[in-house]
Amino acid sequence: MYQYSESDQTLIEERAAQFKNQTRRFLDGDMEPEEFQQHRLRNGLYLQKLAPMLRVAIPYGMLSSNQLRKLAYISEKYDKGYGHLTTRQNMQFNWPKLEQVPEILEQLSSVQMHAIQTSGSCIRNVTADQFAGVAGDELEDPRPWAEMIRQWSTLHPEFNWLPRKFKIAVSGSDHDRAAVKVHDIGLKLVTKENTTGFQVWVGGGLGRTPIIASEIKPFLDKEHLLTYLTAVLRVYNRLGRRDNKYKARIKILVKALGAETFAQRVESEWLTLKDGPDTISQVDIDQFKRCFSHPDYLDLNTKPIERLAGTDTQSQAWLDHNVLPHKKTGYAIVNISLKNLGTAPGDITAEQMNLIAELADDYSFGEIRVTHEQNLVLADVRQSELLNLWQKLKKADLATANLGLISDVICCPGGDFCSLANARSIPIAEAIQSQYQQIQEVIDIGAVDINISGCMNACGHHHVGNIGVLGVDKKGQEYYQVSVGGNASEQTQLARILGPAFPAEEIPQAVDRLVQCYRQYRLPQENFIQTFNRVGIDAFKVAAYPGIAA
Amino acid sequence: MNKLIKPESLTSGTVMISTAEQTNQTYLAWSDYLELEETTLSKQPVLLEPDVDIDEIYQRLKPLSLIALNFPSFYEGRPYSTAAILRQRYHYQADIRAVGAVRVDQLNQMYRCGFSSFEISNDQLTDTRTAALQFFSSCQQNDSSDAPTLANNNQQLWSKAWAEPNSMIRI
Ligand code: SF4
Repeated sequence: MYQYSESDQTLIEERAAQFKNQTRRFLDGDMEPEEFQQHRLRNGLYLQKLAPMLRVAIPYGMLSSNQLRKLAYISEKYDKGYGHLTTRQNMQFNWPKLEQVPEILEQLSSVQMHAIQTSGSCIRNVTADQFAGVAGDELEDPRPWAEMIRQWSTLHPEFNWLPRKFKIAVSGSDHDRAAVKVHDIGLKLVTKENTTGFQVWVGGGLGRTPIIASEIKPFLDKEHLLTYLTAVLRVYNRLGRRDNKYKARIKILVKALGAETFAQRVESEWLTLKDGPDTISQVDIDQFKRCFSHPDYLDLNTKPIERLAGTDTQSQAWLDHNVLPHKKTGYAIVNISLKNLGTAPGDITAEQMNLIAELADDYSFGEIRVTHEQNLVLADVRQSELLNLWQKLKKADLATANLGLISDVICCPGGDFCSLANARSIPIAEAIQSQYQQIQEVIDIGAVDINISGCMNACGHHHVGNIGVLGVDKKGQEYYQVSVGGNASEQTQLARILGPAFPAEEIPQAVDRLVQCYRQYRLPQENFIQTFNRVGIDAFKVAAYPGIAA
Repeated sequence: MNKLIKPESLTSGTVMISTAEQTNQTYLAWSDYLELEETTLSKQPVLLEPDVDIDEIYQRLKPLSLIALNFPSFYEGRPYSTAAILRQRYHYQADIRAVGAVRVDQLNQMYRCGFSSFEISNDQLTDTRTAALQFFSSCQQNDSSDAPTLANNNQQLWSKAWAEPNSMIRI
């Protein structure tokens, strides 16, 4: 975990104090609502349908057990006893009172947390691979870089009033778990002649106009990271459209100029900044790395195990699906699915937070990670402790063995909470999940990502779901458009729309027809997306709309 | 009525407002300036709109002792980059003024991008509002506020010091 320095701490306390002042002036009628809106958004506060919503940053998904306990405390004291994990590694509280938000921010700052820049037209919370530091395929731990970007982007004086929001993701592995190609800037650590640097992708994004990013720099030396980011942001800040908020993201600018021209503009801007004050020295890098505490692994002389053995079918399914190999022999990565039938995907109660904090202390060096798939991770568990841990999770209904499987549905809060929604998404997730409750069947279907968004803002990332579901409004009725073939991994693909939208009650069957179509066509060992890529969309169209010729 | 806050009234870390004089300065639009450039009137300060390409026109601005940048709305973001470029790239040393929808809560950011004077409406300068300026004692970036016209001690106070491991706080 990164440990704050005194200046990090002072800064978040000062921002909390400033926000308190801004809130008071707004409540006293001394600040225009329009102006307050911009300041509160830059502090993660929305005024929603039912109550304000506060989005708390969990930078690159890392939480300490004490931070999770604090979130539990906040959810109980100021909310309704639960929080919601988003697809961007944040936690949202849906029921705080506006007057109490400054107090919540003070609470957060006491454990080195904040809500700075989790919303608004500025650089948002930076995200990274949830298995950073523990994945076997990792080239380099992306977290020190993500932290450097977090600090650099926090209250950046030049980039606080961008044309639109701006999201940066960093990945350090071959296998991309940070979805770098659907971010405004995606950074991938790569090697060239024995040194690591960044491959820079720009202009990806979902939302109304989904676009896969373009590579604008195949290799950037690490020392130049911040000057290069400044150049990209500056070109965007100056040239990005401000006349139409649907055309204001950097992806539209990159598309309008062409990736090559955009890259040239960045390059010439960068040449004026290169080697300037933001150049990162080896001393800076070393200091950053030292600010991270590292798990104190034991040297376990166990042989690597092919397949961990459970005590019964349930524990076996959990070991097979929720437990992943760790780079350190004798350890394992444990995923805690928050996709239990009957709970909104990504929701977690205060009680569960407290329990998981305790389990993290007992089994995983007091650290927890939050994933884009809205689940939690205990990343450093000794293999010999796995079954004990499983027992405890099971007692708390937290041992659902469905990681990456069809019932591990990714879903935004949708119409039940969000004022931008066209349709509800949580009940759709539940209806889909409820038809896949037989573990053997779920395992047989294998890896399928289902992503649901309540409107085209795409917070549920439906464009990159193997099956994507999007809420649309048809003359005041909730309808859902279904798409197939999205892929959020390094082979990023955007899903394609199948055809006319379905009413809510037809969605579960429509999804199941797609699943059965895959089962019909699949070759041995082939998962959903592989079959889709081989067979093509037509077979799925026929399946989705029986009786209508493709 | 507008007031003008000048660089002398800014000290490090916090933007201090000690003097604020009434102003009714008028500015020339860039297009008018171009027409008058050859005449005596060209001494009048020029006001640049956010879409100006500063790289294209800088050579002609160079002799001016004041460049004003307009904020048509308080959420306009381009003048921040324009000011930063004037300071960083062109080492422009004279006054850069923020004009238009200038809000107290944003003076700190503007200052750090290299603005050195602010034309601000009277009603922004109430006590509760100016209290919003007192909040930041340090920052996380290098920035352009250490331009030569500003107090020298800014440089030291406002440049980023990356975290020193010995000052780490454990929670
Ligand atoms: S996708 Fe739309 S409905 Fe869902 S959370 Fe985002 S804005 Fe709200």
